[in-house]
Amino acid sequence: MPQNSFLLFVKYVVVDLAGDFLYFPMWWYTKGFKKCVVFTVEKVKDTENMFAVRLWANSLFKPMYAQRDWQGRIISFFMRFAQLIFRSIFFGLFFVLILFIPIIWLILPIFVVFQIAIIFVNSV
Amino acid sequence: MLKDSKKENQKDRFAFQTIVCKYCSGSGKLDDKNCPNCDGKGQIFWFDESLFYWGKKITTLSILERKVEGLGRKFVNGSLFLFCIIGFLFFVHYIYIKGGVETLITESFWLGQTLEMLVFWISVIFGMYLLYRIDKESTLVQKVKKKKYSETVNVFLTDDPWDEIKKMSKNVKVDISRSFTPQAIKSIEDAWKLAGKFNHPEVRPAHVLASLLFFSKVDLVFARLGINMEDLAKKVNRLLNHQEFLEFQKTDDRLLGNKTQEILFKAYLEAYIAREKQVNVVDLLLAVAKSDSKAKELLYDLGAEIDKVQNVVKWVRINDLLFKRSKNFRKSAMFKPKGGLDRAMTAAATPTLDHFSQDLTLLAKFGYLEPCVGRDKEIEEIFRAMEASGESVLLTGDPGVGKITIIGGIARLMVTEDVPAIIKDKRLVSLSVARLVSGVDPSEAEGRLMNIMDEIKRSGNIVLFISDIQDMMGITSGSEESLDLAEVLISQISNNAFFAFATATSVDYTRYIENSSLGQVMQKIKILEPKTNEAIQILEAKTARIEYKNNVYFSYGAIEQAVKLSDRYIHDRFLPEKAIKIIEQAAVFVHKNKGPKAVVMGKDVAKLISEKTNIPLTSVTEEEGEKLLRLEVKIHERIVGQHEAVKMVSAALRRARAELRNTNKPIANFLFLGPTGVGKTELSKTVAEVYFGSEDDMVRLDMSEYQEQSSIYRLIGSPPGRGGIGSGGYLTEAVRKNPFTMLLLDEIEKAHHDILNIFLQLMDDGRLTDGLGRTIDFTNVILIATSNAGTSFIQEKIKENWNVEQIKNQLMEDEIKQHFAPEFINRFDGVIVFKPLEIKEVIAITRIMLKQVAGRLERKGINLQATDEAITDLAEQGFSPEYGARPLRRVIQEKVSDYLANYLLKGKIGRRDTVILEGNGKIRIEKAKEL
Repeated sequence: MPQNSFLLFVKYVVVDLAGDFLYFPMWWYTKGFKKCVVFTVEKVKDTENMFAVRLWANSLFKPMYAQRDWQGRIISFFMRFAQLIFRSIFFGLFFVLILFIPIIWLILPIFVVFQIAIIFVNSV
Repeated sequence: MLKDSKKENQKDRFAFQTIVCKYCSGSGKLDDKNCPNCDGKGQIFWFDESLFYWGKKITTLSILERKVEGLGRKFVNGSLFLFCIIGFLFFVHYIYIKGGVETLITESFWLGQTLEMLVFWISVIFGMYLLYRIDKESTLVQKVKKKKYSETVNVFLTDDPWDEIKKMSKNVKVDISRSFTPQAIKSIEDAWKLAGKFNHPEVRPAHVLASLLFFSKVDLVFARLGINMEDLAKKVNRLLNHQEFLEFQKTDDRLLGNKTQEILFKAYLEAYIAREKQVNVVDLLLAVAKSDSKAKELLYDLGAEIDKVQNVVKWVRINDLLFKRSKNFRKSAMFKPKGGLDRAMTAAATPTLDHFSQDLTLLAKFGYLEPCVGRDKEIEEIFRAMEASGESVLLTGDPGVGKITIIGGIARLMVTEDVPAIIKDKRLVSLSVARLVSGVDPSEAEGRLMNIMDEIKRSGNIVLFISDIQDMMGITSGSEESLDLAEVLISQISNNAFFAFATATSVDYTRYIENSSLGQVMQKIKILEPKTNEAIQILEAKTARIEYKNNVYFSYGAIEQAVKLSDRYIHDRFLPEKAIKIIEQAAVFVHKNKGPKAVVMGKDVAKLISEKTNIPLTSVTEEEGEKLLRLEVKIHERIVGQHEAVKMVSAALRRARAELRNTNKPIANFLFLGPTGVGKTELSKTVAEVYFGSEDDMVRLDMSEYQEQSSIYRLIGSPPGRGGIGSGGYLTEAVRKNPFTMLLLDEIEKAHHDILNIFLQLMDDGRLTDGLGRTIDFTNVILIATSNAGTSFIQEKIKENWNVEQIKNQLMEDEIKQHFAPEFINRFDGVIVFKPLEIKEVIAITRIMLKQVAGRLERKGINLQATDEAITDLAEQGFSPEYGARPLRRVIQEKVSDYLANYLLKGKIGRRDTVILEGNGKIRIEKAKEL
């Protein structure tokens, strides 16, 4: 029986693994990429929620701290405008960073294989 | 292709069709090969337009294969992960060689062609591959089919549909084994191994049940059910030993029996109904318990009916759900601002409000408010009402039904912003009326309130909550015409300056709010008391906190008893609060008495409620059973004769204690008829002493005091508006405070007939509504009414030598009707005629009375004896055909007690002396020997 188990083990590790490894690039550019995109969209939503850009844009003309006199309103408007700009910039930055995720996802395998190949060629 | 002949089955939403292959009889094998007819499926289940089958092989080899596969998977994943770490270390080393992290942004860094980078890039490939493997493993698990919301009709297949099945598309065929959790699969494998151990040729439900006992989740279910695992294991073992098989075959290729396959599908169905993602071990347990008659019987024997098992499984699921919800809640709560500001920063500071209030959303954000379970419907109704009119909401309901908890639930929803737009991005603030008015006069309080209102309006992000809003009414400054606190609030609420929630009890709402302007500006939403099953679910959700706090565990019986008994015996509070209080106290009680990690059982809860209400609720002990069986003898120690009356009363008490009585009526309603002095009141007192603990443990009403119609208010209290705000009555208050008691209505014929009508309802429904509108429970009282009506008739007929039965019949037909309406008489469980006493009975009573005197003397160290002659003398003197034994007490007092008192005062009798009563009123004293 132990020998039997060992054979099973070898069969699993070698045969299944090898086949699997060949299928894996396919997965990377199909199902895997789809999942990566979904993940990116979720992250973008979370970031938007964090910086609340839409919320600040919607309340651009609302006075801050309930200062409803005209001075308050003017100050609020500029304050909010400034906030909105900063928030948009930060959100934009994060957005770009997040956008790198699917791009890296696509490029990474090719780049890595390319690098390995070069290193091999050069060492030979 | 489809046939619709089995219409009766289709009525059931979850009816399914089982189809067993005729060729292989469900085994899936024919001559050691897959059966060609069914493709090795053996048995299939047709349900919800899909075909379900068990696709996993269970053999020694396949079990081993799965084990090896699992190990192999772990080994490969572990190796990949390890290599990733090594690659990362090489990467770090490369950064170091290159001259620090700042080189990371240079092109030459990433294009470096060193050994370190080679290892790193390979590790990246491995990392990517690991990601792929993890994803692949997660997709191996197939989720349980989603339950449809629409009511579809199950159309069944023909009886031999195998050719049809072969043509069906792959999407219709579901291998249920892929939706089982690894634990559930292991339990099936264990069952298979167990069958091998017992040399059984096939796996049966009993094997599955036995294998399930080794899983902690199943253990938890049995622990909650209060089942002793050792007892259970013994019974299951016996069940396994008694399995019978028609033909004995070599056990090496044991199969999953047809019944077992059906159980596997039923477990899948359980998960489907409960909308679970995977089939769990508890689903398997439920399927076995529901479908296998022997397992059902076994569990029933241990006191776990299928309903209980099902409710406990639900409990496990509620806790899982709460855990998942709390995880999601924490994630969403991150975005809720901590301070008083909203996210758009439009709000202003509210220092006055903050001083007099508590921010509920903030408490909810940091997890101080408990999740609100089972109240989704009410919360939805509140939101609907809010959105429809934009008016503030007033929740009314009896105390303890969960008004504040619902508000807490809304606060939690406000944290996750899962609320209507009108209260989105706002904070829920609870205003304390007590703080508002304390230490200042009403005008200052009004000033404070005005201030607060201004702040709320200015800030614009506040939803106000006021608990017991009626407290604000009537606090006015100055003369009668000036505004009170509530009106100040109303003026703001009515023009929708802000939104508010408020609560009031139903009674307070009717009394103060309904007809006031407050009632008109707020929308009333009635919160009803949850039903028993809902209350059980609410309690189940609460137990985790109480268990953790007290380090004890609750059995299902405890929860069920807390809800059912408090519903039945505690009437001044409402579910679920009263039951929650009970389990909280039970947890402390059990922790103190049984120590940590003990299980709170149903009997502990019964004991606690018993102590609170004085009603015996625990199961009858042997001693008590003995006492109840000997009740007649015990009563006859005080009561002479009147056998029929004693027998009837005793039987009623036994019925009550054995829970075989109608629980919607008083324990018993008796009418004792008979002349004065024959023992009617004495019997009632005796019952009170024997059964309720003390002679005084009764509510005694001399109905001669209730001859006026207006005396009704003394009995049940006066309603509001009758010279005050209403009050409870003597009778209703007494029974409300002590619901388990004897109610003695002396000389009932003297009461006003309107009062008798009140008792009609009491005797029929076991409840009475008092002047304050509270329903008082009378189902635990013994009602005894005594009456002298028909006395002269009884005495006359006794003289004419009629027997008691004849007298009773005549009395009921004729005499009694002059005093009571027939419907009144009909309400009694028994009308008992006490016959006049005869001299021999009076002699026996004399003995009992003298015994009482002797008892009093004994306390002074004096012995009292009486000769037969003396007893007969006293009895003759004390007996009067007209007054029964009533004069006897006076005679004994005059002829015995008075003399003894004089002797005592004169010092003629001392300790250890014996007093002997002799004939003709003589009293002899035997002095004790000098020591």
